Amino acid sequence: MFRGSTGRTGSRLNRMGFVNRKWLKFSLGMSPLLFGGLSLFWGAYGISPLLTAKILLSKVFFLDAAPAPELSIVWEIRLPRVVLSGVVGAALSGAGVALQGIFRNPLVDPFILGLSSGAAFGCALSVAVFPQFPIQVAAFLFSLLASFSTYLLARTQGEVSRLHLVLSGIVVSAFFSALVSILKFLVDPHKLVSIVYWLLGSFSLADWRAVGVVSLSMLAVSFPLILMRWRLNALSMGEDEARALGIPVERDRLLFIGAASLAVGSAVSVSGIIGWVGLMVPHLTRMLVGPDHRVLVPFSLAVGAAFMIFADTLARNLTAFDLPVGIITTLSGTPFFVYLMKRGAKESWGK
Amino acid sequence: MIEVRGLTFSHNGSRETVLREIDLLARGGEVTAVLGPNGSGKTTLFQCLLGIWKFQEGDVLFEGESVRHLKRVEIARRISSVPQEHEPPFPYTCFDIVLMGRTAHVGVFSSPGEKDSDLAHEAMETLGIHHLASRPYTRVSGGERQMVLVARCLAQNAPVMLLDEPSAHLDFRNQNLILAKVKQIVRERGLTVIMNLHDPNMALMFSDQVLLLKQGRLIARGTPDDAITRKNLWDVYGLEVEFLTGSGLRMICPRI
Repeated sequence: MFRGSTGRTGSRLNRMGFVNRKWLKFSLGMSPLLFGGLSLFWGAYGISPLLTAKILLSKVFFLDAAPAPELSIVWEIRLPRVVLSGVVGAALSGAGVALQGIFRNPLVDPFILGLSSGAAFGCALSVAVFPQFPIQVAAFLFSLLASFSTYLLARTQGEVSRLHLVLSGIVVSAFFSALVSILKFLVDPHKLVSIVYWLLGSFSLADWRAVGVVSLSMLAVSFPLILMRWRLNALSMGEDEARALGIPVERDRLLFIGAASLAVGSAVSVSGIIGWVGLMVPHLTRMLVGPDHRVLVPFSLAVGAAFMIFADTLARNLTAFDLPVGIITTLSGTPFFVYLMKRGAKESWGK
Repeated sequence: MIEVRGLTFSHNGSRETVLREIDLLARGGEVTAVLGPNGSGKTTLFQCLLGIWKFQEGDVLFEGESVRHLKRVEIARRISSVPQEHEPPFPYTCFDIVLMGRTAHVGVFSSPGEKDSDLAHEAMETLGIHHLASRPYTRVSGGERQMVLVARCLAQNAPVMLLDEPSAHLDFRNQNLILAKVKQIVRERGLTVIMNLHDPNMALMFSDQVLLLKQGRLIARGTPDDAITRKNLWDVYGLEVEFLTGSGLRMICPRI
């Protein structure tokens, strides 16, 4: 009886807005599949959409209907790369949306808070010094260490101010970047090349094993992120207010920071540092579907996946080389962000 | 009902006592007003009642249960609060804000259901602000925001409600409207309301019990007519006042 405040006014405009909204949500939700499909047949080696579909179907139904080179290009090279970039995109934007929520700060992302640099140091350490130590574990541990350092540095008298948080993130980020530089300086040139290339961010080494690693940790991450997403609304109102509403703030923050660190750590361990996605995608999605985290979180995951697949497809096809995708996301992210800032800051930042 | 016994609070590592031996008994269906100058400990008292700041001595009891032994979510089911003027970082709709009141009633791993949204809509209807439901909270006026926060308290469905300076930043009309609305709801639902006020006249008009605080000490406690006297106001605010009576009302006018 109290349902539907838009329906109550009954204006034609509102109803049209509602229909458009439904279509918008549908297309946002479908966008990873769309871009994924596009990415599968767009590449250096021309494979028609029809043949691509045939190959996928034959694999799914265990048929043997496709020529060998095309089969292995689609199944062994392109598909794992598409899936990997999708999952990494979802991981980074999921981490971004959670961090922005718990720190009630639209200016933060995994990169600014130092999580990415921490993870990068963990990976570089594992590549350069301890090759026997699993790179994913190192990335996760150091991204967790970085996020807690930032959090504790920023926390004064029980409150985390926006300015302090960003400044602490810059400090922690600079610290870990310096540590990475030491490693780069000391390590033998052979390993240096792989560290440098990997720091630029790329999916060129994608395989099914990497997909497995990231998907597994994303499964763990989505547990708090999806199930507890509504609590992000109350958490974003500030510590005391969230407590008064009945939220044990420390416990919930711990869960979300842990989840974000795991997501970023595993993403960085398979694809290096890819900036801007964690900041830009939540903003873009917030402008499209609104700030309510019940809707925002799932759509951020979808849009993050779609954006990353698209960026990686461009990275593969723009030039004869396989460009690092981190360059594409940053190049497309910065002007887009300036546009958002000028046009929609009021809507998405609330002020 | 909420009872406070000998509550004493000082910040961690600080020797200065912010609150000293505060006693208070507030019953259902009553409005208690807390008066005192800036820095007298009014907001601190609220933080202690909410269990956000841990007090050193004394106790806060909800129907005989101590706040010390209650978990966050259990406290939130007993006491709701309207914080001082604030701005959320994201432009949630007013309905989203009201729905947050259901946090203590929704499981950790779930989202609010049909019943929760119905209660949130109902709370907005009760306060006559349902037309704000889909408007961004960041874009409505200060008076409307206060109403939204009161609606959130109603959705939280706790027997005790705290209001921290509900009339601050509001215009003349809204100051009176919000307090009248609160008083009406208190009478209808038998809620226990405690609010911080700056204007003793507001306390005379809208409260059943008055607490006067100065530097963390209780100066007076009683019915508005007993507690708000020339002597007490002089003690607390250091201001000479006159009482004017007429039309069955008693009003305070400062002598400056």
